[in-house]
Amino acid sequence: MSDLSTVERDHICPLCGQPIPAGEPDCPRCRRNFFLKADTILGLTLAGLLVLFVITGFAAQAYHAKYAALGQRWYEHGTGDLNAGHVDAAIVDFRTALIYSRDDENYDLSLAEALIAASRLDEAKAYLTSLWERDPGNAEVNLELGRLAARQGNTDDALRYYHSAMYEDWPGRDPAEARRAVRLELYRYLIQQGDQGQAEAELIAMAALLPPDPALYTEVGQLFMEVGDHARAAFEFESALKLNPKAGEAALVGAGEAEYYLGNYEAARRHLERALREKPDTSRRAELRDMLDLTDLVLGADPFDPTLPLAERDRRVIAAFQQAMRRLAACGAPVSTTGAPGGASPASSSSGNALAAVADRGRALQPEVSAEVLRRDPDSATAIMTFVFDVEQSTIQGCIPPQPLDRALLLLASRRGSSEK
Amino acid sequence: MSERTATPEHDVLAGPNSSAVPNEVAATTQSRSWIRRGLELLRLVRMREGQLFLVLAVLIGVFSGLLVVCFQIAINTTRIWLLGSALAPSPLRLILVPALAGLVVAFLVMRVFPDVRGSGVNQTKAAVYASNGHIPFNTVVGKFITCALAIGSGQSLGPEDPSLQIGAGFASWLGRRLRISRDKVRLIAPVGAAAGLAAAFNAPIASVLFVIEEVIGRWSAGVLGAIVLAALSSVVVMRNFLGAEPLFRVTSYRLGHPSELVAYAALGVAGGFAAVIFTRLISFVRPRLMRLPRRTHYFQPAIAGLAVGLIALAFPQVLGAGYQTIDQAMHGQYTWQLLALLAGVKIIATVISFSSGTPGGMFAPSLFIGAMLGGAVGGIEHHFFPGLTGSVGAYALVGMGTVFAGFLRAPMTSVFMVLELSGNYSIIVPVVISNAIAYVISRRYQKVPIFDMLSRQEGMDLPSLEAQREEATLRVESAVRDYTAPLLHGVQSVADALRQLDASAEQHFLIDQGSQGWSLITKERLQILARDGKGVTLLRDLPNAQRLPHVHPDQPLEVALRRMGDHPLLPVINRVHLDTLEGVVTLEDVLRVYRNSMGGRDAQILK
Repeated sequence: MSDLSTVERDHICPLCGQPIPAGEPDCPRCRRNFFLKADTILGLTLAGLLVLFVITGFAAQAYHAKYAALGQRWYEHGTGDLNAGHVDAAIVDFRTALIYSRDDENYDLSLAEALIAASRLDEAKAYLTSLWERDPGNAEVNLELGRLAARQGNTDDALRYYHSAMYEDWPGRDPAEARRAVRLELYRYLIQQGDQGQAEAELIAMAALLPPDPALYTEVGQLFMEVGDHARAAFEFESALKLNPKAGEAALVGAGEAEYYLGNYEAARRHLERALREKPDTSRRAELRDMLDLTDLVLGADPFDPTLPLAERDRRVIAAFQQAMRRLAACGAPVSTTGAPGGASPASSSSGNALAAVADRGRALQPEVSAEVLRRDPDSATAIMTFVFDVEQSTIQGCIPPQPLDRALLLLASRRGSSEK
Repeated sequence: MSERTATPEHDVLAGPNSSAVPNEVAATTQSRSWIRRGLELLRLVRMREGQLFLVLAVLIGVFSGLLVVCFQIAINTTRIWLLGSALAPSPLRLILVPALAGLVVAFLVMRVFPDVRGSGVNQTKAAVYASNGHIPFNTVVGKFITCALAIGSGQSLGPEDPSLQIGAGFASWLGRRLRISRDKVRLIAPVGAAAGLAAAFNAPIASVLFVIEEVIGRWSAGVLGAIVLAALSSVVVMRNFLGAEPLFRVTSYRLGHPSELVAYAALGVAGGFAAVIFTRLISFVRPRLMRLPRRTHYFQPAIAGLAVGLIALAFPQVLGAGYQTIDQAMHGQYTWQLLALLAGVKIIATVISFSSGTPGGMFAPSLFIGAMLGGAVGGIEHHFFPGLTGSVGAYALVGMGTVFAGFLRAPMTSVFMVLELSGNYSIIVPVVISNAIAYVISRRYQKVPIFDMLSRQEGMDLPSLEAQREEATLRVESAVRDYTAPLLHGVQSVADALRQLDASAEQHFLIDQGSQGWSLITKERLQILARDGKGVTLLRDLPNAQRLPHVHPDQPLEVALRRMGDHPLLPVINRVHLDTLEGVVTLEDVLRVYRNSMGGRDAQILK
């Protein structure tokens, strides 16, 4: 091995290349020349260092600015291409943008979105997975992975990534709002997948974290309406109205509808009336009017209201019975004592037999349907109303559309059934 | 040894005639007061050469860092100017730009900067071993300009090796200007080399190891501190200007099950063979192009540029160093089929570019090839064994180190490079396994390491550092012989010793002087002493007793040779029991062992 410390050479000045006279420790020429003195060189070197530092600083600044501008330019190209539906061009643009600003998360995510849009799901997944591995706590990446899993129908992964996105930080955004948006997106995906239970669970979690904002309560109430959870929907709408009694049409309508479906017709009427009063030109006016009319009919036909005077109760029972008999007749059941059928003929012989049986019950009850009997035997009201509900329910199908009062009785039947359950 | 190095502790800044300096400076610098004040400030801190060397190391590191930052900016800006900012340049540019730039580069290399050919590693080694560390400053300038143009125009070469030479060249220039001793000038080039490489790689430890493995060839305490300081300084400067992010955004890694190491072993095999193919192609093409008439050298880089441009029409990823492509491969942006293709075409493109004499490095191409190969192997393994937990990015990362280890034959550097790039020490097991396999395969099928091969192609015979590293050290234990003569003790009298030696035919006898060590005496001298009436004198009290140095069995044989001097033999002492004599060693024994050890490579050289 050559030993670096022992290699010997001629006694030549390394600076000027001239021989150094014997006995001289140093090159006398270089020692005399100011610009060849070691002190001078060191000083000039330090000065040169400062100059180079400044030059490099300016060069680096210009370089970074240029790169950032190029990154932005290619990103904008990519966004334009993506919006125009040129996804392959957008992918190349975003990749180019990343060359110039490789740590820009927007560019990363846009590339992933473009890959997804191009249905290059495997590449998108690989890319997003690598981003996730680099930063598992990146909410945006988790969200994109969740969307990708949702798109691939992988519910387990979708749930995992969406939930990760919810629990991570959202720099630059309101975290609560971002998390709510993610949960809403997950909810929509779950609804689409038909997983109503999990979707409702997400809604319950979202509702628990709502800030005191009537609009949000209203929005969540509407989502509860979508999944058929009228009780929670009613609670959200009522909460919105409590926070701000002038929360708006949506809250009032929502509350009215939710209470209507829950069978709380008093409350429903209150909200619906107010909604129509405050917003008479609402686009759903006809629908709401119909709902309000029906609510009025229900409230006017309900014989089970404990506050009713007995006479009024008996009147409602009798009116309900008469309506039921008319319904039977309209549906072709033999309701007269002569046995002649009237109105529309039953759709089939089996339903016809069933209607005939119901009609028989009606004819048997007919003698008891009087104010006198009802006063004497209050329990007969229950039997009569049971008959009425059976008539209305058995004529839902295979018969002409029900009259408004029939619909009101049906609603009462439904509420009665729910309460009995 | 020169006079300066014979007195290394003299004041370097002031020089030996320092008493004359203040007057001279005062007289000369009246019109340069700002310089004078600065120099007076400097003179307050008068430094010994050793201290100055460390200060210089930091200075060199900072300068190298700045130069490499400018170099990187120059390369990238040149690329944007010449090839545009698009990921895939237009076909016209691809065909014209590398070829035309090749013409300019060739002219500069042939006419202006003749020393800038090649990667820069061998040139730095040559400077250290053959030119007292002298690297002309115009080489630094030339390397900067030609490499920025070549790499920026798309030639398939990297900036790391040129950065190494730029750092070494600047350090050499500064050392010479400051008139530090020749020994230090020789050592300062590797210091600059480490600084340049560290800044280019953003990996100070790997850079220090590479310079030790490939430029200096041994661990030298005298220079290690300076190299480390320079490397760290340059990296700090580089990060200040270009950011602290590593070259590649590395994906996380975890080993799901130890059996997955087999997958990395397979990558080692693939990487080893890829390195062999790469090296053999260079060894085949380059000398043939070098042998072509000199006038063709003006066109070779242009033709290489044209060839690379044509390849880039289909695979634009092969252009330049390819860091972005490596980064994208590590993030699963390519299918394994494309990765495998890219590894293959990059080998071809790099062989063409490098063999044509275009200045530029091979670090980046070897990393590119390794990353593509690793990603491809990872992709294939994932295809057939979906349960593997290592990401394609992890395979690409390990692949980089694997091909690096096999191609450049720098196993330690490759391991630490991957660790520094990934920042994840849990990846060390697959890296070591894969690198070791690639290294062994490369050694088996490619006897001569790439740098040795290149230096021989250029007509140089630089020391083979791989051979040096692996050279078997001959030790004293292989030359020791039993001491059969009577052993004397310092407490014996001369008469007593003579009685003990009476029947012995030996001439030299060891005296155990206890804590005083060992000495040697002849029978003849004992007889003279007895005749002179000193029979009762104790051996330890004898004047002019010949004190003996001793050696231990595990010491290199050259230690025994150095200590032997004119002594006929040396005692070999047990390291733990210093009073236990293991035997003796003579000059004849040492020479016998050296003679017997001459075989293989040495014998071939002698033949």
